[in-house]
Amino acid sequence: MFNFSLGSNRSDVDISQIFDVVIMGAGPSGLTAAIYAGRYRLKTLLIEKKLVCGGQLATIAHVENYPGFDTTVSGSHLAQEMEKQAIKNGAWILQGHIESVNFTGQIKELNTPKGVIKTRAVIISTGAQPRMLNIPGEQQHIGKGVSYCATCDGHLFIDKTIAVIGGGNTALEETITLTKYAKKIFLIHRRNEFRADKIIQEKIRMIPEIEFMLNTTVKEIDFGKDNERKILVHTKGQDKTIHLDGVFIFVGIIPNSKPFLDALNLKEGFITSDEDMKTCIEGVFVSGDVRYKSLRQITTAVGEGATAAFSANKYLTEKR
Amino acid sequence: MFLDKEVKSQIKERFKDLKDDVTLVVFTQQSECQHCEDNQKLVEEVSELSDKVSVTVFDFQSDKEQVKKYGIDKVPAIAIIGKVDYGIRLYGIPTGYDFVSLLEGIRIVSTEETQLTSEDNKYLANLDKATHLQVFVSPDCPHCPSAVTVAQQMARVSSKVKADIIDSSQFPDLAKKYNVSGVPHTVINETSYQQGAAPVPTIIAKINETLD
Ligand SMILES: Cc1cc2nc3c(=O)[nH]c(=O)nc-3n(C[C@H](O)[C@H](O)[C@H](O)COP(=O)(O)OP(=O)(O)OC[C@H]3O[C@@H](n4cnc5c(N)ncnc54)[C@H](O)[C@@H]3O)c2cc1C
Repeated sequence: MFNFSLGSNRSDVDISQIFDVVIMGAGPSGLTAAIYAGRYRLKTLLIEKKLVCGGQLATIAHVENYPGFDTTVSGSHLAQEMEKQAIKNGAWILQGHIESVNFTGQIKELNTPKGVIKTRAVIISTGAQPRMLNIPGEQQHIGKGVSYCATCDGHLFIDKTIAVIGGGNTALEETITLTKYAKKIFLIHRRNEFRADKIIQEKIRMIPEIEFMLNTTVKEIDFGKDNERKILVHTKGQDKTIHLDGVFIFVGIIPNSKPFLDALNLKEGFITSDEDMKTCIEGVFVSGDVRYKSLRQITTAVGEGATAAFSANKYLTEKR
Repeated sequence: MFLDKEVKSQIKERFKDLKDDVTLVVFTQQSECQHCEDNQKLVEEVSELSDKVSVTVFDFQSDKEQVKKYGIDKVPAIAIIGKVDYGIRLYGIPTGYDFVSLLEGIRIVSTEETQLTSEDNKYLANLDKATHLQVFVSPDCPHCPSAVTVAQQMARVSSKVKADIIDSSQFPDLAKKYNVSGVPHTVINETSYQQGAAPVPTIIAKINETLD
């Protein structure tokens, strides 16, 4: 039942020292990189902008495809175990936001509100965040009926009617999570077929509370007057109004790559690298969802985190 | 026992930074409070991890005077008290990411360290009207602790600001009353609110709007 998180705020790190490796972002990828780097006995600092570790992983109610956990495990539990393991292996975790970077010298510099942090190597694992639909009414109703996090807000929709928008794994999995609370869910997807894994599709079709609306686009979120909440959709060539209490949106992600726009090579906003996670700059590595690749999952994030730490260690050993 | 050995040793490590003594004043109730007993046990376990942290327990129904003194209106409740009462309260047993709010609350009350800028501090020093912040959170919300520390730090610095942290899943009726349909959600003086993990300047702007 309990799942205590301790948060990323430590004040016991001396940030004036030069680190061997600084890992940016404490999602599953950064946490794994920290576990490996700590085991190589590198002087390792993991910087996370939020007060808690885990990144997107922390928002997943049930993880069903992470090997070794046959019965479902919560993302926050996995994240907390990874965090403990990173600390145990010698990594420091610091709360801080990387605002900009200077990768030009041998010693890399990272600018945070707490000061400039210096390091010989860096691993970028800043992940991604939910993509918005960018339709009228969305922005102004975030948190007022529009949500991107089922575990955070699901309990506020007990016995309510909601819509989930999206057709990938995340959208369908989160829909299943939301059936725990909502009495009726419209699952809205713009194509005629879901992208999600077949096994999830099979599962979701068994749930009677879900009404499928394929080939349907949402044009507007109208939660305006009289406390009446509705959305305007376009389906089967016609506009239609649906009355409901909330909308959950899972239509992909956007990479957290802003601090690196000028410093590195990017493709569609994602940082490019080779198979050893090396970017175009020596000593700078990338792993996880922020990396340009085809499959963005916990398993690939942790695998790349390990590879990035391995490559960083190799780089540092060769430099010595 | 709620906290395992490893979690305990990590909390102990953090509590090394504590300066002023902190008293966790717990309000409990014998019946019709599902989580009161566990809340008390959990807080007692936390307090054992530092000699700077102690616990006092009161009964919500019989200790009327204390209920009034600490301004408690629901249980389970924890008042985090330092050298003085800075007005920081936690409502609902903290079982997930809201546990961070308890630990951070203790740290903020005990040390003078905040992440407020000199501008924030100047504003708070000049604030002369009572400002009540109610931050609605949920145990599974990883974005919530950021909103909580904003409120807790403001309460620590200004005697005018009170910060109530409320678990919306344990107090659904209250969440309904304030139309909370996403967390974190900070209600300001009953009348206005700010949605999401907003930074201090945004909350200050909202307070200004509300007090005007
Ligand atoms: C709702 C949902 C459900 C999902 N379900 C599954 C599933 O069932 N199975 C699965 O395998 N995958 C799932 N995923 C995908 C999975 O969560 C991601 O692939 C994985 O978390 C990526 O890990 P990461 O470490 O690369 O990035 P993230 O998890 O995004 O973590 C990045 C971290 O970096 C931090 N950060 C960002 N910018 C900065 C900065 N400038 N300075 C400091 N810190 C910064 C962020 O705060 C964050 O904590 C799901 C995703 C979502 C959103």
